[in-house]
Amino acid sequence: MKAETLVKREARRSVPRAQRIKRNTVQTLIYALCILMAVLCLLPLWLLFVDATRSTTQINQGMSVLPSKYFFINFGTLMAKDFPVLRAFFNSLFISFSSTVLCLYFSALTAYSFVAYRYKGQKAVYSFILMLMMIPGQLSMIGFYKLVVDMNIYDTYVPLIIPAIAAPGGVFFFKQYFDANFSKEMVEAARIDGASEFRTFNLVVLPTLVPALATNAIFGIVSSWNNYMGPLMLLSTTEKFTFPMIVQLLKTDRYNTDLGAMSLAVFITIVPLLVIYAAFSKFIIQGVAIGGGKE
Amino acid sequence: MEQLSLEREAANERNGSPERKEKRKKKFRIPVNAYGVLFILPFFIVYGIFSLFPMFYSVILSLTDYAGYNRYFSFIGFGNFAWLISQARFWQSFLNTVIIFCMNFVPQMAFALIFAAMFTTKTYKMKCKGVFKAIYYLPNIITATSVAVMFYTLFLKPSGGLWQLLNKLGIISYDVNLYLLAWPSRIIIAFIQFWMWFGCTMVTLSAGILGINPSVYEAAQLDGASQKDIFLHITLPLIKPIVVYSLVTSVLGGMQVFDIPYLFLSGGPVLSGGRNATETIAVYIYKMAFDTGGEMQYGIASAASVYLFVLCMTISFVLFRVTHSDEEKRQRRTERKIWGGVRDESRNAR
Amino acid sequence: MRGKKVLAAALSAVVLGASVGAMAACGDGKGNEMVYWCFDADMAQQVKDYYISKQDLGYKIKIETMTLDNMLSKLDNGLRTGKNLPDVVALEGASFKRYIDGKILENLDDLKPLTADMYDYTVEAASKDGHLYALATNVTPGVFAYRRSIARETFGTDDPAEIQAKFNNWENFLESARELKAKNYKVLSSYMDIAKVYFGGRTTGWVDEQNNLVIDESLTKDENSLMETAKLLKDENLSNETAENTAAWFTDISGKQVFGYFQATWGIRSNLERNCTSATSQETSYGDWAICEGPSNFFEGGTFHAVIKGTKWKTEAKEFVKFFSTDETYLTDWAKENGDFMNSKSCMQAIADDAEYQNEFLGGQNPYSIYISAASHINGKIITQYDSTINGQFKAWATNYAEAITHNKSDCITEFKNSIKGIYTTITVK
Repeated sequence: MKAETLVKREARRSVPRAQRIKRNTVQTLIYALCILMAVLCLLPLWLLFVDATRSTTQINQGMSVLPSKYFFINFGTLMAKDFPVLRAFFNSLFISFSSTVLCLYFSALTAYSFVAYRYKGQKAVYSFILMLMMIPGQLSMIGFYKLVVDMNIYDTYVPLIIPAIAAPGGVFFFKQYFDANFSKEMVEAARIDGASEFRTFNLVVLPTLVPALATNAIFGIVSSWNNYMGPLMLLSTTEKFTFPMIVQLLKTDRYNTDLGAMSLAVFITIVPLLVIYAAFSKFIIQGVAIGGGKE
Repeated sequence: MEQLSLEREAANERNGSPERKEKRKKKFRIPVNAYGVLFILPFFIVYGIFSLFPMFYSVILSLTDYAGYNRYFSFIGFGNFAWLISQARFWQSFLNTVIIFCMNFVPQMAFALIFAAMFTTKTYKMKCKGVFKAIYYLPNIITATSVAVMFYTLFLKPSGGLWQLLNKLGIISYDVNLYLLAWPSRIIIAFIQFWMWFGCTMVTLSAGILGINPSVYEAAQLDGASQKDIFLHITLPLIKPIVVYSLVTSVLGGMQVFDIPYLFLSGGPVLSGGRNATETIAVYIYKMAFDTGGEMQYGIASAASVYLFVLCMTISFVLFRVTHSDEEKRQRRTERKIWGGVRDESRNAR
Repeated sequence: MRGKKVLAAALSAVVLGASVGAMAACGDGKGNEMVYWCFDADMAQQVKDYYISKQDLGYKIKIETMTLDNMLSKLDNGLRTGKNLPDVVALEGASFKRYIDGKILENLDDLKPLTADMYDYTVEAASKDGHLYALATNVTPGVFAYRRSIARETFGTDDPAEIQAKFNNWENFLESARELKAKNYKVLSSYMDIAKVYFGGRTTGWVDEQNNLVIDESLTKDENSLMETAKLLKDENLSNETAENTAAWFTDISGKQVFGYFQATWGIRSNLERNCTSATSQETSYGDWAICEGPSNFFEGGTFHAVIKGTKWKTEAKEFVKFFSTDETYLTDWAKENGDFMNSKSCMQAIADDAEYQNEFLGGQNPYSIYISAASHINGKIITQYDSTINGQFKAWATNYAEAITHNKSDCITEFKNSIKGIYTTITVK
C-alpha cells in the first residue's frame, strides 16, 4: 500500500516509460470496456433493424447480424395491412404533443407561483407536491379506469392528455430551474410597465425558460409516445389507436404471422424516438443530469 | 372550469385595448400574491380529479366485491385484504419484485459508478465521452413493448442468438430452456432492466461527480492520495445524495415494475404453491383485474394495489428518514474532514 | 414576438384539450353502420368479398380487425360499461365460452332449425340451458400432418390409412416415434404439441357443474397419459424440443428432420403451407405433406359469430350470422379456395366426394373425408370458459415434469391444483 503510494508519487514527478505504458494499457482497457458496453446497448437494436429487412421465413429460421433485402417488401406488407398505420402515427403524435404542451405550460406556471409570489402555506404546498412525486401511480390504476368509465370519457383522448397538466415531476424540474435562474427584477419591471400577471408569465417569463422547456419537452414526448398500458386500457376504437398499439396488433395476429412486417413496425415505432434523440441527445443527457430522467 | 377562466383571461389579454385596461384598474384589483394561488389551481384541480380521486376510489373498491361484468357492487369489509394474505402467489409477487429489483439495481449502480468514475477521471483523458453517454442512454427511450419482443427472441431456445451463444460457450446444455427456470428468467428480466436503466444512472452519477468542487480533488492529489483512495474517500461520500436520489427513484420504480415482466413471460415460469417466478406486484394486480380468461376481480386487485401503496410509502419514508439524518451528519463530517485537510494542506504548502 | 408564439402555443393547447373533451361528449351518435369485430384479417376479407360486395345490403358494415387478446379485453370493457360494443362479433373457439350467456348475447333460437346441417359440437358449445347464442362459421378439427418422404423412408409407405394405423393411439405413436428416431428423424418439433390433442380427447371438462376442478384421467393416470407421454418424448429425445409457434418450430416445417405436426384445419394453410419454403436454401416441403387423424380427435380455434344483446341492428346482425354459417356458395367457395373446413355437413361432404378436388400442398390428397370423421368425434361438452387458462397451467406443470424440474408426478398435480387456487376464486379445488 505504502510502496504503491510512493511509486505513484514518484510517477507524478516524472512519468517514466514503464509508467506511460501502464497508463496506455489502462486507457486501452477503459476504451475496450466502454466500447463493449456500447455494443451491448446497440446490439439488440441492430438485430431488430436486421429483422425488419428480412422475410418471415428467414426470421423463423434463425438470427442474423447482416441485413437482407426484404425491407421494401415488408414495408409494402405493412402498408397493405388493414391497420391504419399512418393514422395511428398521427394519433400518437397528437397525444404526445398536446399532453407535453399542457404539461410544460402548467408545470412552469405552478413552479412560477412558488418563486414569484408569497402566500400562506406556500412551502407546505411545495413539499406536498414533492411528496406527490413519491406516490406510486399503480395504486390508482383500477380507480382511474373506473373513473374514466363513469365520466363517460372512455375511448377518448381526454384521460390520456388532460392529466398531463398535473405532473409533480415537471413542477419539481421547473422549480429547480427557477431556483437557479429566476430574476425577480425582470418580473418587477414588467409589472411596472403595467403588464398583468398572466401577461408577465406568458410573455416575459416563459421565453426565458426555453432551455428547460426543451429538455422537459423531450422527456414528455418520449414518455407519452412510449405509453402502452394507458391507451390499451382506455381506447377501444381502432381509428383512435396509438402507434405502439398498432404494433401490438401486428404482433399477435396469430393466424397470419408476418414477422418481417412486425419487426419493421416495431422498428418504425422507434424511429421517431431515434430522430428526436439524434437531434437532442445533448439536451436529454443534460436533462437526465439535472434529474429529469426518472419520472 | 379552470381552463375556461384561464382562456377567458388570456383572451382578455389578447384584446387588451387601452380603455379596457383603464376599466380594469378601476375595478377591484386582485392582490398580486393571489395570482400565486390562482396559478397552482389548475395543477391541483386536475391532480385531484385524475390522480387523487382515483386513488381513493381504488381504496373504496378494495372494500367491495366488484368483479366480472357487474356494474354494481356491495361492501364486504376487509375480505379482499384477508384473502390476499392467505395467497402464496401474492406473497411471492412481493418477493419477485424485490429479487428482480436487487438483481438489477446492485450491478446497475456498481457499473454506473465504475463508468462514471472512468468518465470523470482526470488521469486518463477520454475522447468521445458524449457519444458513449448518448449510446448508453439510448435504450432508456425505447418502448418497452419493442424491448420485450427483442429480448424474448434473443433468449429463446433453440433459435435465439444469445441462447445459442450461451450454449456454445458451454454455460448451458442443450436441454436447458431458460424460460422454464425461475432464476434464469429472473436474471434475464433483471438484465433487461439493467440494460434500460444503466445509462440513466450513469449519466446522473457522472453529473454528480462533475459537480464536485475541483479544488477538493486538487487538494487530495497534492496530499498524494491514490486514484482509488480519492474515489472511495472523496468522490463516493460526496455523491451520496445523488446515489440516494437514484436509489429512491429506482426503488419506487422497481416496486411498480410492470412492462417488462408482463410483456416478457407474463409472470411465468410456474413455481410450487400456485406461485409464479417473475410475477411482480403490478403484474399480479393487472392480471387479477384485466387478464383475459380471468375473473376480473377488481376488488381484490384494488386491495393488492393498496398493499403496494403502503409498501412504497413505507419504503420511501424509511429511506428518506435514514438517508436524510444520516446523510446530513455524514456530509458535515466529510466536509469537515476534507476542508480541514485542505486547510492543513494549504498551510503546509505555505 | 417569440413570447407571443409561446402564448399561442399554450393557448392552443388549452383549446385543444377542451375541444377533445367536446369531441368526446358528442361521439355517441347512432351512425348508419353496423359494427363487426373480428380477430383475424382473413375474416375481414371474407366479409368484404362475400357479404358486402355481393349483397345489396342498403347499409354499411364497419369491420374492426384486432388481435384476439385485444378484442377480448375490449369486449370485456364494453360488456362492463354497456358502451363501445359491436353489433355482431366473431368469437374464437378457445375463449368464447364465457360469453355464451343470455345476459351478453342475443338469443338465436329462431335459427335453431338451421343447425341440423352443422357439426354437433359447434352447436353444443354455443348453447346454454337449451338456448342457442352463436353459430360457427368454420369447424376446426385437428389432424396429424406428416411428411410423405420421411414416411416412405421409415415406414415404407406414405398412404394416409396405413400411417394412421401406426399413429392411431399413443402406444403406437411412441413406437413409431422410436422407429423414426432410429432413422434420425423426430416425430414432432415440440413435444408439448401433444397437449392440445390430449385436451381434445378428454371425456370430462375442467370444471363440473358444481364448480369443482376435475382432472381427466387421460392427462395424468397411466403410462399413456399426457404427462407420461410427454416425459417419454423428452427423455428419449424423440422431439426437436422447440416450443409451439416459435421461430425454431416454424423452421422445422421446411426442414428435413421433423416428421409431423398436430394442426387444426386452418393451421395446415396458415402455419404449414405459409412456412414450408426455406428462405436461405429455397428448399421446400410443399407437396410433401399428407394428413391422418392421429391418436385422438381435438379441435383448435374456430370462428363463432354472435349478436351482442341490445343492438339496434338485431335483424341485420342475425342475417349476417346466418349467412356465414349457411350460405352454400360462400361455404363451398371459401373452403375450396383456402382449404378451410366449414360448418356445413352437406357442403363438406360434397367436397369430400368431389373426385376432382385435390389439395396440392398435401400432395394431391383430398383431406375432407378425414376432416369430416375428425369433426364428428369432437366432444363439445368438455369445453368450459376456463379452458385456455387451465390448459396453460396444466401444460406448464406437465412441462416441469417432463423436463425433470419437478421430479414427482403427484407433486406436479398438486402444484397444478395450487396454481388454479391462486387464479380462480370461484372454482373449488379438492
